[in-house]
Amino acid sequence: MYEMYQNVDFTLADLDLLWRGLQWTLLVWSASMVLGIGLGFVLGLVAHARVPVLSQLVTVFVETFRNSPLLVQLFLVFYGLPLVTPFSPGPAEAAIFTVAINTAAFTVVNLVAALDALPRGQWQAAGAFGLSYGQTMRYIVLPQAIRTALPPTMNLAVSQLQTTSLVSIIGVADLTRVGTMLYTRTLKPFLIWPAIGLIYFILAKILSVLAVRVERRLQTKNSWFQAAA
Amino acid sequence: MRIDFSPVLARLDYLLSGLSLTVMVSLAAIVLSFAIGVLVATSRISRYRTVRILAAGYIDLFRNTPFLVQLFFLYFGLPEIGIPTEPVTTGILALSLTAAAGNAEIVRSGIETVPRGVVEAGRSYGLSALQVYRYVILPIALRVAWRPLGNAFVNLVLTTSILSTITVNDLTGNANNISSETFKPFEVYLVVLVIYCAVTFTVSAVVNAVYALFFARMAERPVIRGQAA
Amino acid sequence: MIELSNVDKHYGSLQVLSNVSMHFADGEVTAILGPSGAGKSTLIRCINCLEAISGGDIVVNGKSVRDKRAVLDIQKQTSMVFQHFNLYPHLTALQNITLAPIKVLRKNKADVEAQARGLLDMVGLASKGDRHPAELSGGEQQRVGICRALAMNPQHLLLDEVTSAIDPEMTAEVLRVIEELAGTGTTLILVTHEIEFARRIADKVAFMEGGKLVAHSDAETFFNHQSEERISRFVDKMKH
Repeated sequence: MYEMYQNVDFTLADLDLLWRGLQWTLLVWSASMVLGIGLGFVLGLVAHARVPVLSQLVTVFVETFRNSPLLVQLFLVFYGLPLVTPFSPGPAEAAIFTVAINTAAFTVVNLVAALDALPRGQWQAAGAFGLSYGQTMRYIVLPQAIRTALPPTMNLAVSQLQTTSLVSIIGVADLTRVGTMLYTRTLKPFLIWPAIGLIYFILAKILSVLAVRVERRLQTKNSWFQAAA
Repeated sequence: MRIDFSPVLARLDYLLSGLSLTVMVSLAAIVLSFAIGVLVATSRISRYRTVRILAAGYIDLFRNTPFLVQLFFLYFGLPEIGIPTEPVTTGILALSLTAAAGNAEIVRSGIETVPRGVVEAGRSYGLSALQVYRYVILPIALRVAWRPLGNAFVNLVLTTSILSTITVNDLTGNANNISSETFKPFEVYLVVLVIYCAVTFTVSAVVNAVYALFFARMAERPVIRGQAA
Repeated sequence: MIELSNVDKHYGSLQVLSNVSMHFADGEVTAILGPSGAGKSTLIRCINCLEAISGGDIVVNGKSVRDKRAVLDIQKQTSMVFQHFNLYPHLTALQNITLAPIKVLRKNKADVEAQARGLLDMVGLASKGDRHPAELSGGEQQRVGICRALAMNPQHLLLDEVTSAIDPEMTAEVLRVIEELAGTGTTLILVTHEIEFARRIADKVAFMEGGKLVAHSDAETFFNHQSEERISRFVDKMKH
């Protein structure tokens, strides 16, 4: 009886489904990376500037989100927020928001490490020329710190692509969700999951290549900048 | 709606029973992923080309596909080729395989810091290849790899939460149950978030203690004083 | 007894040893001299089976280095002391010395430790057995290196420029240890730049240049009746 309802054939419609899943995956990933890295950048500056109270809050935020599972964070936002706040995000909003926050926490760590790695002499030299904190930050410290923080942050972004698969659990129709849909219909896990995995694999490879290219570009730009200075 | 933790705290014992499974699964996967990781790392730099390529492929595959997809493939796919699966053991297996890929890269870069001359000294006095690995190369490599490995262990603990998707009743799994019983998702997941933080801080503390106990006395780098440039 | 016959060694097209034939008798002290890149270190590394020879043969107590099954036996009879010490950085001085005797010779741990303490005492490091290499000076590390080689009770000791990586003021103590070993029945083969030291303790001197053995004679003849102008000049230059 069961067999009758099982539609084991794949159709062109399934390809369309995969294509839409791919778009969702890329949308969630790119939106959360832009928001997350941007937010992490700002919070990193706050943490580094030792703003009273604010810096401590950032530290608590960073440690909490780095040391808890993204899945629980997703559940907290998607199921929890609507019951205690006026916000009731849909799956996609909750997904983008959570992955962004998670990414921000790791970005803060990368940026603060890069800022701390700069020799104190840079600050003193800039102070001697009468540059303000903001000017020193903008023209001297940040350009160097960003260069240091960039490779780990790009690695983070590439690996967060895999992490976005978790948003399927709160109902975003991403690639993994499409995999689950196809699996429950065809019951061919041995075929479907490797196929889905392969798409992620190819995406990850493309992103790694792009990351290396961006890195190299910025590196040469910076060395030119330093040589000219 | 008011925030009220009492229904959640009333089920704290249930949450903690989930925690004990999380700890058990984490420990098993840490040990297994470490062992497989060392094996893959040594294969990655084997003198046999085929072994090297296989190990590199393994690492590439597991690092560039989502854990959720790997988990679904094993849990739903293995029965299709006649291997019955059970959530907890399949979960431990999947976690170990994926974490091993990361550990392998960490251990390999540790091995690459071992000075050639030291390895040669071991060979020179007649230690077999296996003995050189066990008594010379690995202890030196592990010192370098230990802290990154510690981060990987923390990551692994966080990843165990994903096993709840294949019905493992770990901390996250039990949290889901309490959430649907009490309709207090925000409070439940917030408490769980804090518990995960406590677990990962404990893991980090243990990692640091082990470092202080076993590795701290060695030189920062195995530098030979007075060595001619 | 070590017998080299027509030994060739090349890395790709680079010839490092060419047609070297020589003989090291038991209990004899041989100093191998020559300019950098002459192949001196390669020669003793080949004896120790750390590198494979490309042609000819090296026979240690009747066993050929070309025979894979003989490698372990040869390595047990020939112990190497390295230019850069190559101590195991994760082990204490004592553990550095006892590792191979316990794992390779399968000796009793307590016996080996007692022997190691004796050796450390002999080189003046009795109190430093529990230090890690990073906590020792270069000269101290090299003395531990010598103990490590001696703990294997080798019949032949191969010393590869053992003082060249040590601060000058530390070399004397290392040389003193080696000097004490001469005449104890252990065959010493030392690659060195310390001409004065070689003159003092060597029975035989070999001179190598460009991968070839140019001279091999007893020390008296080598230093006092040198017929080759080139070698005399090299020796004179090395004195300073």
